[in-house]
Amino acid sequence: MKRTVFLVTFLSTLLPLVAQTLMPSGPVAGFVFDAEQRAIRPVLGVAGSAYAGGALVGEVEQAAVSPSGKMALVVREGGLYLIRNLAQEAPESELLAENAGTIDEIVWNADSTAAVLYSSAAGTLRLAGGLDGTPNVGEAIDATPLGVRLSALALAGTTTLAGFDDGEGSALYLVPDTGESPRLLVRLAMARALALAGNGRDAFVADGGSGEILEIRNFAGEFEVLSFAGAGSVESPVGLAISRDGNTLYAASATTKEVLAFSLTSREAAGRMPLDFEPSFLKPIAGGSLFVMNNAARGSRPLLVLDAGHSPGVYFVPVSDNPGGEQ
Amino acid sequence: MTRKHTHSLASILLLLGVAGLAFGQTSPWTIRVQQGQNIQDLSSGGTINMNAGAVGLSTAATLSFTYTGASTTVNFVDVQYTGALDFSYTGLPSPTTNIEPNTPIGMTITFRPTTRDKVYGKLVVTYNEGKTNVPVTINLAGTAPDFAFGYTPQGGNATLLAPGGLITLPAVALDATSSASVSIINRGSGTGMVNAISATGEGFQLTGLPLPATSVEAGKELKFTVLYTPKLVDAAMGAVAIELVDRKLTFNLTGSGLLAAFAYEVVSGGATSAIVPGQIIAFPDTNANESSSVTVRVRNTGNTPGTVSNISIVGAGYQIADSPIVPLTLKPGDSAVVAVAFNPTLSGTVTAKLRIGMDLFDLSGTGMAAAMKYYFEAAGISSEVQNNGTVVFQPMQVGGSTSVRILLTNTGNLPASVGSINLGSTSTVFTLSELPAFPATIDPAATVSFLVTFKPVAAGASTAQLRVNALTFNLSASANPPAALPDYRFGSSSGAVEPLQQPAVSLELASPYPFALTGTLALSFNSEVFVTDPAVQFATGGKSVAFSIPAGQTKAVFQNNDKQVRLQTGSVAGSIVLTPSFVTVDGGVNLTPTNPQTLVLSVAQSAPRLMNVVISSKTGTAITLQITGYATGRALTQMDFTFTPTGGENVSTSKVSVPVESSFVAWYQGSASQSYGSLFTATITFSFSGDVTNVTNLTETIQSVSTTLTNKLGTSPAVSVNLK
Repeated sequence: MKRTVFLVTFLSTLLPLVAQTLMPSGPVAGFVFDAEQRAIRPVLGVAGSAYAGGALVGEVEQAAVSPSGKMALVVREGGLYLIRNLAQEAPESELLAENAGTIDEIVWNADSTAAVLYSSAAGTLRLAGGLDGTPNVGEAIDATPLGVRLSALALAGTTTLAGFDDGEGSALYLVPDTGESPRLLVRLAMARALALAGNGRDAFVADGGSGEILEIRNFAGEFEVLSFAGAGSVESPVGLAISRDGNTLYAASATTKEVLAFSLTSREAAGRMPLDFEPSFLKPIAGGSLFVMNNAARGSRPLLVLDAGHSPGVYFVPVSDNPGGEQ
Repeated sequence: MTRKHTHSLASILLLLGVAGLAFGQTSPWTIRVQQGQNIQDLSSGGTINMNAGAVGLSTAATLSFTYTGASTTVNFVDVQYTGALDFSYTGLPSPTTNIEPNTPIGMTITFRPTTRDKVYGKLVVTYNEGKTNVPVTINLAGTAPDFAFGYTPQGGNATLLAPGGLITLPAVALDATSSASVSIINRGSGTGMVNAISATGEGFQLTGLPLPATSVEAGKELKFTVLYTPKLVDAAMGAVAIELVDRKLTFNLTGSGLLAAFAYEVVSGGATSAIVPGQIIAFPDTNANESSSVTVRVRNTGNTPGTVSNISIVGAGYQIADSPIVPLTLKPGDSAVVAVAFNPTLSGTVTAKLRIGMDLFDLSGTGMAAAMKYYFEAAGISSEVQNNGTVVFQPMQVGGSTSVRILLTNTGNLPASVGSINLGSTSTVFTLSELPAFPATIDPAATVSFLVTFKPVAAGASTAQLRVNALTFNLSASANPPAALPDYRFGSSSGAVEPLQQPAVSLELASPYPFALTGTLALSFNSEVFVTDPAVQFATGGKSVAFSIPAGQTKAVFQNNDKQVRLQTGSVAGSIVLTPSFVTVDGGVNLTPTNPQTLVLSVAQSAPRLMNVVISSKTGTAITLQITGYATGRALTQMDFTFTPTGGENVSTSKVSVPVESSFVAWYQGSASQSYGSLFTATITFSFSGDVTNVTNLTETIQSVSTTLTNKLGTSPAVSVNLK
């Protein structure tokens, strides 16, 4: 039996409702933490025509915006806060932990429900969960047995993947949120970049020593480590990113100043984008397909982003103290 | 002494006496007397005068008697002598001897005086001429010289001299002459003879000497003068010899010099040291504008008073601080002091001469001070400059710069201090650099330097004053007009550009400029739709970016040493105008042309562009699309959606057009939109009603949605989003 579906738009039938629904707004490419200004700033516009807007949250020592773009975890005067309604006119903040100490790295999971925090001073990993509802901050996990320096960090759900440098090289560990001991996934010469696949089960890690990219399938279970791109595929990797459509793995190389693209389907190199600067990392800008590649320097160096969306490319984003104004 | 001889010849003398009478008439005797070469005839009663050469010295007279009478028997009867015993005779024959006529009979009379007085005697020779005895009388007179000696020193009294005595000449100044008159007085009765007079001894001379063998009559005197010219103060000895007939007399001579001799001593710092004229009197090192002194003591070590007629200093830097009144006479052994002050005003050795009387002394002292000399070096040439002098710079083009190095050299012997170096007033064209830290100490023979740079900003002359401590140096420079800025060009052409682009722009001079330039590339945006786009800015942030062009090069260098700078074209129609300005690094001279060439990038108004359509939510009956796009003209009139059904499903209305002009007019006219240019994100929700065939809910019947945007300039390409 064939049925006919009638399409009705609110626009065409209910004008007041349509007006409210269609009200355009300005596109925001994401949010970045401006370390110089110690603020979370929006990236107004789209790649190619964007700039850093005014501070949304200021006076913070560290911050990370959720992938949803609606929340952020910030460290202010030693306290850990959850900022909600980030893009709204009146963001709300909630103190999650006093004396959170020095937080060097905050990484959200994909669905913006949890984040893992790393403190190099304390040598601890700490999980903040329930961030989309009732937040809670877990006990600090002593990470010092894992290594002396955090080199890669990702959060899949509430499971942490962390790469540490130790005296003999690097190793990638899985740190469950269950209180179990960290589990070694793979040893490398230098774990330098980490990215989670779109399915949340697999991960890619780049070895800065060999230039190889390893794929770790089903890291939470009976995992296997595969060579995704052989040794020498990428020199001095500093960042890995998965395209928005989940089909491409991007690897940023510091020494060759380029972004290499690998097809996740064919597992072959799919192209390269030369850069006129040396990338430092690939950090996703919350809420979009953009990845920040460096720290901006006000007045001299813009923010540089990789657009891993439909039209991949590298763009700059001007950062100034007076967004959109005369300089 | 008179005595009477009784001799056999007494009768003869009687005869002679008689004969004398006879002779007076017709004497038959010729009597001839010879003394030396002198021969004379003598009559009876005549006198023989005999003068001895000296007392005790004999002299003889030979008498020759010759009988000229007619008698043939003639003989001498007697010879009788009376008178002084200084006479004696010999030679007459005995009375028995017949005297032959015309035959001379000799007789010798000897006179040997025993006194200087005149003595007399009478010799009577009596002869017999056959009948009578006739006396012949011969008178004798004897005389002898007797010399006495005396001298009269110059300005003194006469003093008798005994043979071997001392003639003392008056002391006289060295090289002057004193004298003594020596008298040889013949106090005897007869003429004496002085044969020769001579003198020995250094410094002694005789003057007024008689000729050799000069006779001095009795009662007369002979004078000559002894002269003495001393060469030394000490007494000198000599002798004068007078040769007489019978002897040679020697008289000692003595004389001495007179000298006022000055000896000198230097008293300095409690020490005394002797010094002689011509030597150096050293003063202690003395700070400039301070004083030190040395005392010079002058003492008369001579044997006569001396006079210091003047005391003076020849030369600068020294003064007589204390001295006696001149002329000053110092007796032997007396002394006086002269204080000399050394008053240096500069560093270095200061010499002069101190005159005390006829004596000169060299004065030498070292003034202690820092002595600064000032030089400036320009174009490799160093020139000294004095206080209030002028430091001249090389002419320079506006936009360039030239420097001179100022050198402060301490030629003194004490460290110098430089407390400040500055320009007399604020200068826009002169600057100082490489200044030392103040206060700067410059050791002797050391140099401190710094730079004065002239950066002209306008053609013409420029002056300023440079002050080093309290000294002033005039800075003088001139500037030529700057070279015109060469043509320049941008690395891209003016014209249309697409929105949402990030083109790179470079800037290059057509030819190198000799001086370093800096500049600003300014961005302005002339919107065609009355609303600007804040995204239109340089990559470095903002709407201006600095650049520099090194001297002699052409390409502008931007931040991070990039030869180009990127900018965003934004999403709003309009003109992006890039205007450079140029100034010289040195001097900041604006070289920007009056009408600078600009780069104009134009973003045209066009049909809307649809960038992205995503499904922001999806339920069983509705889907919400999030549409992102832009319209450079900031106008949007309609959205069109085309629904493609899932296979096996049928959609009665597959296309939906939504008029959105009013919504976008409201959006674009609102202030919120101005932060985004013409970018927008809009969400639209579609609800579905009806029945499904092969799927479980209404939205499953839709495979995809294709969207277009439209305004008056056209319609965007469609963007499709798959709902599966």
